[in-house]
Amino acid sequence: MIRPKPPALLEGVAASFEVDVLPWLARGSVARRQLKAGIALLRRVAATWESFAPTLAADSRDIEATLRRIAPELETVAEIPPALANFLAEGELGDGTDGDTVEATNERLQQLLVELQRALAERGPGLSPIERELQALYRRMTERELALARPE
Amino acid sequence: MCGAPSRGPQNRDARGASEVRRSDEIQDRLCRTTVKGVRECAKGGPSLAALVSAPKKESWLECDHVRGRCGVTDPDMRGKLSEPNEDHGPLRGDDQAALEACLEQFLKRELPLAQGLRIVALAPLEGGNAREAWSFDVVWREADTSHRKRCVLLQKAPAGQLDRDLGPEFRVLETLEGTDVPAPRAYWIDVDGRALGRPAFVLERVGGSAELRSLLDPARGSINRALARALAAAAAALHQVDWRARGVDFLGEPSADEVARAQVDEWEALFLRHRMEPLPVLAAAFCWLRENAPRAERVAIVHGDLRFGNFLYEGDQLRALLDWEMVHLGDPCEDLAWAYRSLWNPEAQLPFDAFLAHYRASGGASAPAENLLFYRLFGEVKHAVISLCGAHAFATGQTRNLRLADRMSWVPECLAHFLDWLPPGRETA
Repeated sequence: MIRPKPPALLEGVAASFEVDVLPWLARGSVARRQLKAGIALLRRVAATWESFAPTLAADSRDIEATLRRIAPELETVAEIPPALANFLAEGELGDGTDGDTVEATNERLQQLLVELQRALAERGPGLSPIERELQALYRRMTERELALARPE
Repeated sequence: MCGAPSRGPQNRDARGASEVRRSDEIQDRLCRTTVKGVRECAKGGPSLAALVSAPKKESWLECDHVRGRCGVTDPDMRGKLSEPNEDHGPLRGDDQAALEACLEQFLKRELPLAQGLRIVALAPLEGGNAREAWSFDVVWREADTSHRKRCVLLQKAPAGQLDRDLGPEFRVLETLEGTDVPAPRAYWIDVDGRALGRPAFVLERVGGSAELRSLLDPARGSINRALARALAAAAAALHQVDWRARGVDFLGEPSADEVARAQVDEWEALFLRHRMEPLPVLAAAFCWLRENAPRAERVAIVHGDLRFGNFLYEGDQLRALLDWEMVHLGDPCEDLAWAYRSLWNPEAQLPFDAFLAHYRASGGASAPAENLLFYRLFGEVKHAVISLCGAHAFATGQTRNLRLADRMSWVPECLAHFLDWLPPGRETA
């Protein structure tokens, strides 16, 4: 069974709450405020449901590619964190097949970035090509998150 | 970081089943204690054990009170408590009556010479995420004179975006009495919640509205321009307060070199405590802030949440600054930059340069561009962390406030602003 898909269900629930329940709740009441917040949340989740996993996978691919690209230069400017060294020694991650794998991969890559930041911070401030690459990566990551957080 | 709404830590999983069962039993028993018992307990009456064994009635008031004393804080058990819905919830009549009774007893202790003291017209007010607000009057007689005070009770929410002690906020408001700073008078505080179930204080009830939508309404141009200028003047008055002379050093005595770093440290600690995934962009932003923290031209009392929407106004008159829970000693530029964050930015009413000019003309401190930029960037990071804390409170079951449920979706916008405003050549890594 494929249809109705979750986004359609969630959007339908939100529309029903908005039309059939919200008008009956007193203005300024907690119930009304809770329901309005719930409707907004349902709508956002519905609008981004289909794109969540592909966006996360794209994010992971971008982080991995950036890390592999800067690795040669990184060796010359800072001590590579062990977890990152292990990661670089592994083969490419791939996207995985289920939601949990996609999330776990992304979370692991996020953590590698944090450890890389620590290593670079110990080296002191400065703007090397590595920092420029990371800066550009952060912008791309933020743009992807924005697309999920504020869908059209 | 492309966060799914709820991936919080699973506390129950991390604990032994028997321990959970035991705690559940304790909690269930706590929920059956009586309001009367709580009052007696608050007065130093029966022990906790006696309270636990006391029978019958559920009340969020008593549960919260007792929970605070016995330290049962597992969020998984919160659902068993009869707590109010967020921002009061539809309190049952007996709950509100219990609060009124506790409040009356509390004020009788605070005003030992008062005769015939009673609470009048206790009613919930729409409040923020951190405090529940109640309006009431207290009337009494003393030395053949009748007294009546218009009051607001602010009670710490069970869980919100930030977990702040009420004591410093209350003491700052006390010390501001008699200054030019428009702030409500501080009357009484129940700092540990012994009397009222949760920490709370009572302030003067000032007239006016705090509604943000009208403040940003272009149709009210001249009124809102006047209010933006009034906000600048209020900031100037606050930043001119001689905090040492007024004994505000209980907030610490940070040097001009330290204040920016101290704020970064404080908010980074909150970030590390509440994040639900590594969040490397936010972590990198903290690195940048740490490396670029400026020296303050002056150390002043900083409101910490000074903005449109956080003051009471009537017509074009600003009556009182509200929401002092983030007050601290710091760089005045922090308040100025925060006032013009995009979410509540009054730029359309009064451009930032004009705001600054009015601030200076009102006696405000000098505001170096470098410091303003730093605090503009800091403000984005701070707002991201506030959002993160709210999302964490919801994800871990500490609150059912749905306004906090999706607050992680606010974080990318803060980070986008942060990245946009980074000075060229000084980007973060």
